[in-house]
Amino acid sequence: MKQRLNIMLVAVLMLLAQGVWAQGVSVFGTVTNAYDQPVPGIVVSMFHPVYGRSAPAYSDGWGRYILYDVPPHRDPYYLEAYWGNQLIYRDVVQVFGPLEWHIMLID
Amino acid sequence: MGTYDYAILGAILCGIIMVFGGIVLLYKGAIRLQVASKDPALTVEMFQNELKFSTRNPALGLFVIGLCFVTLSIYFGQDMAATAIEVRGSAVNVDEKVTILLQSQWPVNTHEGRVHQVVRPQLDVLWVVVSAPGYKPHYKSFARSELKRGVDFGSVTLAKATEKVKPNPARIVELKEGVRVPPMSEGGSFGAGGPL
Repeated sequence: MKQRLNIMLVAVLMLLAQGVWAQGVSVFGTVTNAYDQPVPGIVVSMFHPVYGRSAPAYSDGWGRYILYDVPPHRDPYYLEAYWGNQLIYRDVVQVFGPLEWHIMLID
Repeated sequence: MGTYDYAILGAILCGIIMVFGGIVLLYKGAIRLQVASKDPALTVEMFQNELKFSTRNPALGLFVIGLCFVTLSIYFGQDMAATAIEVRGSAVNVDEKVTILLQSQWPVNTHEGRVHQVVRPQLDVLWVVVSAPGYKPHYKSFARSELKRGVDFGSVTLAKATEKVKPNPARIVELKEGVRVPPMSEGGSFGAGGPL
């Protein structure tokens, strides 16, 4: 009986732990050009060797973008920006918590 | 399907089983319609006593309860049924790749900066966002009452905001060895893009 209770307790703790680790964070920021002007309509996406590619976000009229529900991971992500289909920016970002990342498209 | 959907389906199944079970029991002779009691065997009052149904035949009660299960389940389930909405429109005079996003919104009004509310999301407002790189996005919203007859946002012209940003290899970090770049078509494995 005691052994069963222990197994159940471990199972519940594992489920709870999964819930804690599965919580995603937000990655947000702005997209600006060489003249520090906001660039709207840019597709911002992230990818990770483990998780694959994120859903896309689009920069708004003020150049702002936000990606919700990004799972933190010890291995870094790649953050990309596309002008239509053309890749114009890629950098490595480390996501441990909510991250503010400004994409500066300087020449 | 969520718990609510399963509950509705379960209630519909119960209703159907009761109706058909009643028919089978009548057919087998286990219950008889002729057997009537002096007092009403079953009384159903609905809509604040405006609709009252009463029977002295206990066998009919099976049908009535079964039908109640089915009709009430359908009545309460109709709100969550997906409504097909036809959306039409186009962007004109835009040189870049145009993206049209359809976003839903179900506002929750709260006061004092906190919320403690059970919400059942439904489409209250449909946002159409037309965007293209370097152009100011165009926003248009449609209220729930307008959605039934479809949405036509017409021809949209976008205003240019910035010049095209040319690709520059200095802004693109090299990938680590063995890392594969998933195509954009594989997007959605995690995360969600925020509203424009």
